[in-house]
Amino acid sequence: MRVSLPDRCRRCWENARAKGTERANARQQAAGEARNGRRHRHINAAQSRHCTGSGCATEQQAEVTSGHSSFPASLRLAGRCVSVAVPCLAAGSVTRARSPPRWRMAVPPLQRLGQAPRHLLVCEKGHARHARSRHAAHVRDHAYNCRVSFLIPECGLLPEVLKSTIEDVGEYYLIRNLPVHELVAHDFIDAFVKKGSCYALTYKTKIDQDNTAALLPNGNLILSVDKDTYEELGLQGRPSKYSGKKVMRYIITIDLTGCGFHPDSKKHNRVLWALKEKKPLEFDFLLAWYNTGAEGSTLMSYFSKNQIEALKPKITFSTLRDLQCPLLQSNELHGKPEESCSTEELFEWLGAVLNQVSLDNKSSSFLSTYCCPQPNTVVEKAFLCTITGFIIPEKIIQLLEQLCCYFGEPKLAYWLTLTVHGFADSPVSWRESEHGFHKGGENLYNFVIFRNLDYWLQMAVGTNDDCPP
Amino acid sequence: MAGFSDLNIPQGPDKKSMQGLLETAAHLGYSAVALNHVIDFKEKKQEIIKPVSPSELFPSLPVVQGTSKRIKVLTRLTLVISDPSHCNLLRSTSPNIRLYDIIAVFPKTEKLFHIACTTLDVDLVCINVTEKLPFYFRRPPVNVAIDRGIYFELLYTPAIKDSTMRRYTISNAISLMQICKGKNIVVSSAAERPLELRGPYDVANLGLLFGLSEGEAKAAVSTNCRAAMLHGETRKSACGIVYTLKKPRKVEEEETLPACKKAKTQA
Amino acid sequence: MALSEQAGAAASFERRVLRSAGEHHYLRVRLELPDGGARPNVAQFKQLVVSALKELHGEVGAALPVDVLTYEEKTLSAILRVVSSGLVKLWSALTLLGFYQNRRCAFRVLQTSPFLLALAGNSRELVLD
Repeated sequence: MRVSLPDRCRRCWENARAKGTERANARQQAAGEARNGRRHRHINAAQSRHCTGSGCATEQQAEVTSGHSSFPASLRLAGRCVSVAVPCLAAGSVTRARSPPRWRMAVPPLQRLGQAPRHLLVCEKGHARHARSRHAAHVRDHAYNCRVSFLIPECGLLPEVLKSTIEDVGEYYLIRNLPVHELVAHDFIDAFVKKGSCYALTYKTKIDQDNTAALLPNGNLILSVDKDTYEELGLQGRPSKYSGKKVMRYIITIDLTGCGFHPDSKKHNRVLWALKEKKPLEFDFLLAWYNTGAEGSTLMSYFSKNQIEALKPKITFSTLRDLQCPLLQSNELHGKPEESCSTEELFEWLGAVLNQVSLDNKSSSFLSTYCCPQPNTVVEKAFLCTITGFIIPEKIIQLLEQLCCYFGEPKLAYWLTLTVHGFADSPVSWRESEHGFHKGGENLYNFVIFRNLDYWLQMAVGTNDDCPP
Repeated sequence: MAGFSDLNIPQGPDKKSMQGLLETAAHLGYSAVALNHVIDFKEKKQEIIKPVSPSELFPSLPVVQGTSKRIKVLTRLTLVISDPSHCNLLRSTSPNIRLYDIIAVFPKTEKLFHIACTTLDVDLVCINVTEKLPFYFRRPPVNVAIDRGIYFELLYTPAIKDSTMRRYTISNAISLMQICKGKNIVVSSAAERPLELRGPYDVANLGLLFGLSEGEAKAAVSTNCRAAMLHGETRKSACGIVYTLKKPRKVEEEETLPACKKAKTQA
Repeated sequence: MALSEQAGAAASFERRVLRSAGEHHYLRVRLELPDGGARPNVAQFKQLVVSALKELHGEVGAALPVDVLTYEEKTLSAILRVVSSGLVKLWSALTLLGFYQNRRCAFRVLQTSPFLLALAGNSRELVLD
């Protein structure tokens, strides 16, 4: 009767047998299931999973096909496949009762239209002066930042201290066509990587299409390369988490400061050979270096042979008039109805402010129904500053510290915010957790600092990302 | 992931409009496009001409937006076959055919679809999206095609132009997905005007409408296109392992590529 | 705003992880029209979006709550907000829209994100040099 079953079907079938279910039982169950009106899902799943087999018994075929005459023609097209569905249908239900199915449920075509890409928002609250507060560590772990903005309500003029902190954000460098092997050269490692925090990130490369490289301040060089490059390079790496079943992207991590990477070590020579001769990789790099005290040569003079230019972050100031601000209560992350707003509401509101979205709409409005979360109050003026460039975490920590000090003197504002956007195409988000670009490579965080130095921290990542620390 | 590609930019006689199309494609973020030359055997006097070299057509190629690279332009030949005799052309090793980077066929009948999937040396099989399917997709030829590394091409421009065609595009795509399970699909434009081109992420999202999963949809504009291009490359070389390369000055010498090249074409 | 002061003592540490909890998705789009001819104002723009939805997804699609958060007539760019479950529908409807008042047009989706804040800093559009 049974001619042949495809592999997957056989697995289920054997599964069913292992449970002591004979074929006849299976058929009975199938019929029972069908009566319970659950057949559509099963048939669907089975149809798209358990494919090519040539059919089973004709009686079963009749049984099932009669059950789903309401299916669209396209689904009924493959009459043969339906017959295979029956044994797995029963087997599927057996496995399901025990544990979730091992295979991914096939999604009917039109159901996918209702799914949105995965994303994560992590909200924390704590106190900035608490001994075990990790807010600075979160900033330090997020190495690559392209934009920092802060918003201070009830502030018309920026205090001098803050102004000088902003101006001190420091310059960064753009080097064109820099061969990657120059970053693993020992001169460079000794002069910069070991003597401070050295940040490097490839510029104008797209993490979902191109090769990308990044140098972290802990001395790890991360190369995110496609399959071709990986095979040609011949360095050991691991498959990217987000490249699916057929691995098309690999991550290579090289510890430049590790003990196994001294100048004559095998490892060093191999890396140098791979990057120099095997597959010479060249990128435009954004570079920044932060060192405490010790004078040394500068990046500018070290790379004077290459095309290097020093860039200053772009800073813009603006004053927002009559801004609707939500009311917040520092110990209520969830918000309280009628009393304060939740952290998600604030997050959306801040996005609206930074994008110049109008905040007073009515629910009957044709164009937009977005309005400022309730309860809120109108602030006469608010100060908004945006810094754009390649901004290193050390400077953001300084800025954060100064913003905390802003509340040292009595101020009208009850809270202020500091928003940091990461690079969409950096290979890491926080620490060394892999970052990818699916439909958007968002990785950003936002601090809300309250007058009593309580803080909220919101960290948001998109689809191809780990949970922030 | 590989860069985004659009494997179907119809080759028109007007150089200026072609340039406009290329510029838009580069601006939208495509890193490679293929100029498509269509031969319909129904019309008489069809000869396979030599592919027009892209460097001749466009002295300076536009830079892909957000990168510093220039867009890559390939040549593609599409044969519309409605009679088995048309396939002979592909079997005979016509010198001009071998000059194209990608070869596609557009089978009009079930029998020809079967032949295209199982025996013809092609890279792409075009799926009709402008009318109701003239035949059923059957599992055996489709599975053979997937095993051979041949890709099925869906077009989206007809769906932009006309609502009836939009219906056919989606329904034909869904019935193909029932059989091929979202494997080996390439989505390309066939856009004749810049305003008919869509960005790669937009097209990937459109793939969801065709019944692809998120990953498969993105692959349909990136990795699958790359695989099809490599599949085409294997025709010019011996199994994709060895090929000859003319080097300036030196006498013609043989270049050997690592064996991994072969593995790549399967991905 | 006075409320935060009443809280008094320092807040204890708390962490919430919201997995795919965003109710909305945001799209930054630009409408491309051939040179010359009328440019839609914000109401016409919204109407165009709704008609695109209706054309592809029918009445149910047209009923999707879509908000035009910002619109700039000069550049024809806008930020749209849509419920998360409607993202794919809205996006595909915009992609397949081919005509505005019998003239060809194209919607370019520049960025999408579940976070409105992310649209304020797109590193892919940064020009640093």
